[in-house]
Amino acid sequence: MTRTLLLGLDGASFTALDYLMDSGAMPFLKRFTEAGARGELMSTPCPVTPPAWTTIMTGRSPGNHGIFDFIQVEEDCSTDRLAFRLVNARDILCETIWSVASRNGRKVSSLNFPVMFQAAQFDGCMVPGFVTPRLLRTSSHPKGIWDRLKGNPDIDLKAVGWDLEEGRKPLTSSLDEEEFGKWVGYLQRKERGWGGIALDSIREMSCDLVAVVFEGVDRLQHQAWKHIDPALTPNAPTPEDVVAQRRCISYYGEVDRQLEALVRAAGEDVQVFIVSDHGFGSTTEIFYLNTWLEREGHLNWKGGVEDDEEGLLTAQNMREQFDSIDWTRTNAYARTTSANGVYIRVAKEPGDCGVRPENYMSFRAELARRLAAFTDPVDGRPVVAKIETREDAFPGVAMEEAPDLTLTLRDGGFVSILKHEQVLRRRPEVKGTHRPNGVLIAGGSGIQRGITIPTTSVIDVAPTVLHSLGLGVPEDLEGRVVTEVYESLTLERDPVASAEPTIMPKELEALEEVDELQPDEESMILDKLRSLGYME
Amino acid sequence: MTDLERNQVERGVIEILTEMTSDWELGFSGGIGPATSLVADLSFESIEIVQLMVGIEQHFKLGNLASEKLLMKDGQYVPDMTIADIVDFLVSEMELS
Repeated sequence: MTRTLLLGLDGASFTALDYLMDSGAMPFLKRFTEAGARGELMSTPCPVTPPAWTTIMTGRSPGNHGIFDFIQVEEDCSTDRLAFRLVNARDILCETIWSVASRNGRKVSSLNFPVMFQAAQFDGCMVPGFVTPRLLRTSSHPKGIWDRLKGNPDIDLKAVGWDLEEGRKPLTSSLDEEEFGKWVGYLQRKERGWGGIALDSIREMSCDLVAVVFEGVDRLQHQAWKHIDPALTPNAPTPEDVVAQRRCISYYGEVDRQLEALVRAAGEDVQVFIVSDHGFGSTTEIFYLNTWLEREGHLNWKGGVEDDEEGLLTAQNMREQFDSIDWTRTNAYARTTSANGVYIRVAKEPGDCGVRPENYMSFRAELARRLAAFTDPVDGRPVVAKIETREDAFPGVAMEEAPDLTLTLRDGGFVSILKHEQVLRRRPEVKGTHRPNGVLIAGGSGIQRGITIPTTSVIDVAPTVLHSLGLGVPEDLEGRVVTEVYESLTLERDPVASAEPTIMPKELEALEEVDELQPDEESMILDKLRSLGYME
Repeated sequence: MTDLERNQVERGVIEILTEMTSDWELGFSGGIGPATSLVADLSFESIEIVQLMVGIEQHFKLGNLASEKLLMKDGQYVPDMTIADIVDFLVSEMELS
């Protein structure tokens, strides 16, 4: 029987949800929130999907779990190229709560979580997020789950995979009315698909923990924030505005129906945690960080690279993006929009490109000073509101993979990594972008009714979920159980307990290899005994 | 690495690809073998090649990013590769480790 539901709404914020609940677009969520506990949930220092969801899944900060961005890069200052690939589950340095719960006898379903491609098997069901439709079958487990789900006519499996073209749309272009309608329909089919798989985990697999991410919230908000944030509603909306807003509301209505179906299916004894990895807000300008670095003499473009004319933040193809930079003459660069910071290249050998190791600290300090001093030529005010070194933002064993400097821009936006004649320019219209403050809404058995709790952190989700499953909290988790959502009697009956530290993935892998060897060893021993005549 | 070990690597790669593509709607009708190309025959998208490589790295217990060497030749990304190319790469990586 399912005792815990972890329902992820990627990029959800109360800015949008309160409006949607009050306007009647999300009637279930309104009732659920009023009957439960709510509060803001702060994201990781750089509020983006991979580090934030990985913190939710591990209870560890990015400096320790090692996921900072969508890609991992191998810096080699002796060559003229940059090798990179998408992050995957093997890059996570810490144990996930799926693994912890499974080792402790709980059956788990993890659906559509990013960075879970090629995750180790556990007792239950795993369908990773950010995987192309054709690869989902072989990257899901247990073996055969995909073929069984295919037999369910209520689940549209074709919609749940990672369609690159559809996924890029909100970030790389503005859609016309017809395209937008089709795209919102695609997002709704996607959410119905994931909701259907989650229902299966509750009804057919009886998982103790069912966790699913509805990713369309973030995608829709990137594309259509001006139609969602009530503060941006025009006084005299055009007919196109009205149609677009209706489409947004119909999308959130779909999410509301999926949430309701899952909570109802799980029954009265379930504890439900609705969380987002980050919040959302507006961005009004574009800061071309690589262009700024070029002007400062730290980066060189290759010949023929054209200016960004469309107000984009990144190239469609990261390989094209990296190929646009002359790596033999670049000491510092903004790697991706999502990292929102500067990477400094450090020369390992004489003759390598990059900053000499002994000059790293002074170079970084000067870079930070110059960034802080950069002002908008129009209003004369600083553009970078906050600059954090990796020691401050991402302390931990994996800190050296983090950006050397992480920026918070004054408009809350993310940097552009493209080339442009101006370092800063106004956006022609407001766009949606990430904010640190997401949401936590808890409800169900033993949860207080109608309360607002102080702000908590994404790092508190993992211990809270483990506690909800009746498990102790491993000593090495960095967050805490959000006890303030619980009724006092519930906490007296089920006090927070601590448990042995988590097991590092490499150790788990080694243990599995030993387990895998045992049957062979046993078989070899039996064969030997047979050959010696000790056994029939 | 002996011929026998190389054959085992080849068999492993073919097994992974056969399982992965078993429900894909492909025009390709022949069995997967050393001369089969990922893009031309199996219609892999570039992102699928990257995700396949992660699966292969995991299966053969190679280090992360090892497959980047396979995806690049003379500073350029290769548009397509055969099973034999993948096997050659894996054999050389295993001999190095």
